[in-house]
Amino acid sequence: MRNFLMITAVAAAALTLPAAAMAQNGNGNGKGQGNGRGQAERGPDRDDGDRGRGRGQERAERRDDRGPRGKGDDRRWERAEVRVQPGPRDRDRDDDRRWDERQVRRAVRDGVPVVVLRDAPRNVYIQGCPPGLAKKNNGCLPPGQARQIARADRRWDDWYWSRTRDDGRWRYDDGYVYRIADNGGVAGWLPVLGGALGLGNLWPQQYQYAPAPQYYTDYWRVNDGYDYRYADGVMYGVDPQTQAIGSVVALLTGQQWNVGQRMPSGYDVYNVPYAYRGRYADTADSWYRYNDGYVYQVDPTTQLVQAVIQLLV
Amino acid sequence: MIRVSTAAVLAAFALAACNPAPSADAGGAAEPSSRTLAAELKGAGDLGTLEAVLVNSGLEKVLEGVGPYTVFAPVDDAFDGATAFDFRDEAEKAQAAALLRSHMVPGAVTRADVSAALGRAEDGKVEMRTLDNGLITFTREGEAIVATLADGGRAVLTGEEVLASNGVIQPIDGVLLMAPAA
Repeated sequence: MRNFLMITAVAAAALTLPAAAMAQNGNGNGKGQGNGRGQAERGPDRDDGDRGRGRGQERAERRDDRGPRGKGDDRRWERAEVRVQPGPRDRDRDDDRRWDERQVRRAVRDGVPVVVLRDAPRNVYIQGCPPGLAKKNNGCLPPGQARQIARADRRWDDWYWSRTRDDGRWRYDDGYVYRIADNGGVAGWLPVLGGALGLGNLWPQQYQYAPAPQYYTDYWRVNDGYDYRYADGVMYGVDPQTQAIGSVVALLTGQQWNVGQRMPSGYDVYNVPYAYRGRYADTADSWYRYNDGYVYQVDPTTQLVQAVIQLLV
Repeated sequence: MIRVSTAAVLAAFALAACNPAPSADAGGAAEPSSRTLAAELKGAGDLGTLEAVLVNSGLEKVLEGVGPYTVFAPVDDAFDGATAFDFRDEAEKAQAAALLRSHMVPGAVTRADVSAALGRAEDGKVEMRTLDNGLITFTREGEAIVATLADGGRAVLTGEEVLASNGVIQPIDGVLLMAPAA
């Protein structure tokens, strides 16, 4: 078995280097275009891997950064940061900044780019009327499907779908969750995993996603011809011809771990995969935590993230 | 049979004396099986309901894949009367997926890992992030480890943990994704 371990030990100080790319999302409605100055080198097969279809326009200014040196390793690292407006999945994070800094890291080894996308569209909800509901005055006309929504009174459903989304009331019906407006109409909607985003269903056209980074497809070892998409903490395999969801590949927290920033809450317990426990065991000086295909080195005292470690086996 | 020389043992002790000792939760002597989480769920005697929920949710590939994940798995009895509807019902696929996401955390978490974290926690509790962005808080009550989902239910880690090839199954005696009492 080829065991290729790529370690990125990025000191917090490295973040202070000049020219780390900064990008700022616009109004959150556009698609990331990656049209900034200093376009990063792009791979032949994942050209749009870090453009995604994210919210807002991205003005990225990127900088190549030589990574681990020596031993004939021609690996290069590119570092960029983007700013995106936090979505509902961020709502109980440790800080209350309106804008949340994200890092985009790219590695190029042996001429092959390994794109690590640390940004993804945040589907707060799709405004307007869901498919099949006519729009009328304030919100969507509630006959038929919407009337069924209004009648739905299952306490568990109301509780769960509201607790996992942004503020406001949410109702589930037939594969979608609906944001209920103050006037009782439907203010917006989203497809959900297992429902409209269940196996065999067509990908909803209005639902935003990011093409899964190659690192994710490498890490989760998927290569069966699907178009891999990331949205709201889930990586899907979608038939490129029919647009049908053929596979749910991985579940992710979607949380951002940035070097030099505090570890997100919820990682008090050691959770490194078995195969890496010998190499990344907690010590008095360093903790190691796994999340979404990476192991992170954390200072136990300050809780600051010291390094991001890619695991490619 | 694996032979370990005396010199190697002494060298190991010497290294241990020089370096900060890994915490107790860093190791884990038990070896994982060669079966995936999905296969282990299928073979477990008292996790049949959750296995059926998994099939209904369409997330089998997730638990057959690389992972790793830790599944806090309600035993069959835990589902009795837990909610008004059946997570195995075809009409509840989205709810089945939601149930699984709220009972899963990233990585491989053994009971020894939780115990070690609780041992160093000043306030006696530790938290883990679920795959639907919730938080499970762990506390100790006597010998038992109790898991509580924020705004949700409470359960005790029970039975034997299962170390699968791609994660860990931690049986629990309740369903965490429970709406608070009205």
